[in-house]
Amino acid sequence: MTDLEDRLRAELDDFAQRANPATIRPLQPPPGRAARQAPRRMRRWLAPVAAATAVAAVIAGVTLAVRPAGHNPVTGPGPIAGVPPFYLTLDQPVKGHVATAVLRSSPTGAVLARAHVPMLGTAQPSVTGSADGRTYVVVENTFESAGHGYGVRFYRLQTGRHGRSLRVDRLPISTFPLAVDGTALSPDGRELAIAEQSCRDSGCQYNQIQVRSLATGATRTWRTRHEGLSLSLSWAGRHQVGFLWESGRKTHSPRLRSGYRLLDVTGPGGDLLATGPVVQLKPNPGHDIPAAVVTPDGRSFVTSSTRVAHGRDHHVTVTTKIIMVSARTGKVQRVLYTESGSGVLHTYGRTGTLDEQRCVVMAVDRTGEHPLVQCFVMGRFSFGTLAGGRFAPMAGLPNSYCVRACRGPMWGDATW
Amino acid sequence: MAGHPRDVRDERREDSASAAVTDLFRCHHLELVRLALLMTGDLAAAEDVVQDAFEQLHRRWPSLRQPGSGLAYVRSSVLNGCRSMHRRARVARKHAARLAEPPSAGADAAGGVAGERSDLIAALLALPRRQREVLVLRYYADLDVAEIASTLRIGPSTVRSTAARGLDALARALKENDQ
Repeated sequence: MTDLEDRLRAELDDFAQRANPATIRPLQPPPGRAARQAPRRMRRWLAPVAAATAVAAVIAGVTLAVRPAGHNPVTGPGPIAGVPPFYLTLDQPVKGHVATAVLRSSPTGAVLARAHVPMLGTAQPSVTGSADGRTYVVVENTFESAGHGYGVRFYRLQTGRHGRSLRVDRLPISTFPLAVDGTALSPDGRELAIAEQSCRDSGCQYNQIQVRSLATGATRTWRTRHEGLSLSLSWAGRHQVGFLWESGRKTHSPRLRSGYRLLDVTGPGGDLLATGPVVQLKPNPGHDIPAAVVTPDGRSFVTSSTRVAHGRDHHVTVTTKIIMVSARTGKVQRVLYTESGSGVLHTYGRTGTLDEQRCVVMAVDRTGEHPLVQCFVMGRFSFGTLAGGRFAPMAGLPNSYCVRACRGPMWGDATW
Repeated sequence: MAGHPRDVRDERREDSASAAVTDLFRCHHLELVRLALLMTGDLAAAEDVVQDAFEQLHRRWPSLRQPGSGLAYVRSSVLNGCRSMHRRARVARKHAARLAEPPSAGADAAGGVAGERSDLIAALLALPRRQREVLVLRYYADLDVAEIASTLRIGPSTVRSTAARGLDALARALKENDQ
């Protein structure tokens, strides 16, 4: 055997080892008889119908793919380079016990798959997705510690080929008796970061971020007993979790101050606040600290900022921006988008309150250039993505679609 | 209560098919995913291809003439699936270059597989499809010439000549890289 053959054999073995039980999805054995309910006679004609449908779908898909954006009848971002191919919305009806997850094609808005997730009417659902759009985790959260509520449930949604189906599984995760303040699925969909808080009637004892393997259930925990909240979790690659630490009290220690932080999750666990914030935040009276999503390379946080200029007779001008902040210097690197509106705010009217005027960054793509955002400015909801400084509503949804923190009892979430 | 005898027979046949396919799946799933990974360079696509191959095997199990040939059948299906995937990827690249992200991007994000290839693996993935298949079956799956011929439905002499051409092409590619 020649050197080349030896080397080929060794390198093929080495490359193939990248597929191993820890890295591949746990595929299911083909369904048995009991799982297939369609009678034989029905299956006989289902096959040609399915084949014909598939051919029609391919033709339709190609037609849509090659149609120029200007001719696309569906409003939306159109073919923006770099935008993830799918986006998922999660809607909870005002009454009812399910939330509906809908996976849509980003360029066309076509509904690719739909799934129902059991959900209490009082719960607030949230969703987090992996970077490849193949796995999502839906969290049913009452935002109460288990001593007062019933806790939190987690569901995994896995997409089929080309996003054509969504399979829902309940994950065997119990956070009892902790309250859950945020979650983020790792880029490869194998680990879930969960921000948790231990509280009793007498007060809260500790905060922690737990990184849990969805395959094995193994956990690593970073904890602090300092008063505060860890929120707005997102992953930078597979080794860092970005989060917002909102300190519960004034502190002179830079290490404990509020801000966006990066937590190295390669180790076995430790002190949640071992290092200080990478982006320190100044107080902005009248506004919550905005959510921020770290870019996959860990270099920036994509977040929002809102300024309100007060005029005469309660007239205000609201300017909200989506910005990219350096995770190294804490300075604004770029303004990705600016939206403004003016008028008079009515607490119970259409325009909403002062603290409701904002944009929320829900997820970012690989580059951070195309965040998924929802804005509410002077009574106008907009949900979409950004491209070249412009706002592009997501295709397949009404212009005024609202997904998160909408006025009224409706509550949902969305992610790439 | 037992149903019609024909239904009972059908059920037993389906149970036997399920058991056999499940056994094959448990024993050979990983090795087939690795084979597909070597053919496609994309872990996610490899998983999909293997899943599809097993579903196809389950559907066609009753019509297999030799139940012992299940592994060979599913291996051929995996190779066919990889070819189809390459065809689809070519069509997608041709028609939708401006859309969304390139097909390999998902693979990079999913497992970092595509982004970290050695020169030799990169050269292998760039070979014509038939040469790549023969080399992977020969040097990874350790099949002999007759088995490769049967899997790819080509003659043994074609296997030998294709393997020789493939090795030559790899040697040339590595030499060019060194220069």
